[in-house]
Amino acid sequence: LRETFLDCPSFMQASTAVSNNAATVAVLSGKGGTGKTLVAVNLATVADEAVYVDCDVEGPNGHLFFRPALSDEEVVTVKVPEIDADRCTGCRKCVDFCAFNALAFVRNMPFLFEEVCHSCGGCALVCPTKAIREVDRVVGTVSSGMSGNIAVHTGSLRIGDASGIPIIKRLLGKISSKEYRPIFIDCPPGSSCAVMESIQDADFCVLVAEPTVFGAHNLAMVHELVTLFGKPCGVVLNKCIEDGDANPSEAFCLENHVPILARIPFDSELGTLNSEGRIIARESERFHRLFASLLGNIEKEARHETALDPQR
Amino acid sequence: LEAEHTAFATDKGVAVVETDVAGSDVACISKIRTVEWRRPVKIAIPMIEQDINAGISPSFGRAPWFLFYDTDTSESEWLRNIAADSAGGAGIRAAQAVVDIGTNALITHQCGDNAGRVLSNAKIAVYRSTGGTAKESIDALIAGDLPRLSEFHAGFHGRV
Repeated sequence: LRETFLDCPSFMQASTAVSNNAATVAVLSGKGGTGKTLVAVNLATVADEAVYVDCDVEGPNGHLFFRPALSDEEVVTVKVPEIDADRCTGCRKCVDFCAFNALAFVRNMPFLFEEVCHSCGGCALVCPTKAIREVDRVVGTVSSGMSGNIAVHTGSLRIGDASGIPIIKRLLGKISSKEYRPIFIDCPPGSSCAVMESIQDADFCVLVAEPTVFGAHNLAMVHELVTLFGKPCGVVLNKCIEDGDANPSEAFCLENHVPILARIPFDSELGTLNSEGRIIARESERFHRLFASLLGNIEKEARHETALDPQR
Repeated sequence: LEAEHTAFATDKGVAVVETDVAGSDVACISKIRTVEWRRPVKIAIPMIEQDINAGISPSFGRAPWFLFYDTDTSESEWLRNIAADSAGGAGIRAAQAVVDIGTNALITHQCGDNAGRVLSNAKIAVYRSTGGTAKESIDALIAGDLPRLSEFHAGFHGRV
């Protein structure tokens, strides 16, 4: 994968904040529990030398598999206004200015909702009596460490906080612009702002889907999102039951010409290993083959896409 | 001592109390001089359509309309909810509109905790609709039959 992307001049042109020359693969799904972490962790494992970034900051669990030796932990803060009640004249300018409705005006005083604030600093600027100053508020942490040849970056949102975006920004900022290893981004579930933030610099998106009607519905949503972003993508069908009922997610792929990159079986050995926090591609030869083949297919599809669209 | 008039919303209606400025809350009950019980004067209700005989909106912050009903004059006033299209903080903005119009009570199916904090700070009583039309809920409130809303949900806070 690495060599292919290094040799591919169009990827060199697509220099982004995250990577100048390494491939960035984002793993997404329309809902939680479909197998994003399973896929991202095992892809990084078969790639051998890789970077794994856990952007699922509301419940990061890739580190449970990699158990990295932590070398660095940073606190992530955002700016929030602090209102000096003695200086405030109750003019309401800050409340009227706030585009995010983070300030209410009750009993002649602004009233702040910290977790709604987007840290724009506008309220402090418009305050005529300088009653507002910006202070730091801790929203989570970013930690980094090595697990064998894999660099593991994990973001963690403080419990009770609403937006993981500042943490995801800091996480992606940790990736060197000279990174030569492939990068695997374990995204948050769904198709919200946090997911958009996570896939911004991705060269390829892997969509993990379950074989249910609900799974296909969520796949359609996340497929729409990556299409909107103009990202090439392919699907991993997880929890496939042999001789089972028709797979609605597979039907979606066939109907919409979305490439199917791999099928992961609904398998008790897999379930057991995974629930013990063990990496299946390390423990079992057949799963190593499965993920090596998936990695090859991603490489093939990405090359195919760049051939179709040299601008990318 | 200067007197201050405050309206406290209670299960029975609105208690208008006169306190001296040193006493600021129900806790300072000894300082209350006169108490007058009144029905809520202005009731706010989130609505989907401009019809007092229609059902109440299932959402507070993103209801398209607010009905303000004056129990003294039996008049209805309609206000488009500008918070409905907010990217975030809709409940806060909607609660602000309800506060700004000078409401005493709100009838709703549910309400998020952020909006709940704005409303409680402004001493607006929040009642839980037990179903039926807006008019039926107003009549039930006036008759003292509506329960207070006891649970404020965690809100959606940007998660769509």
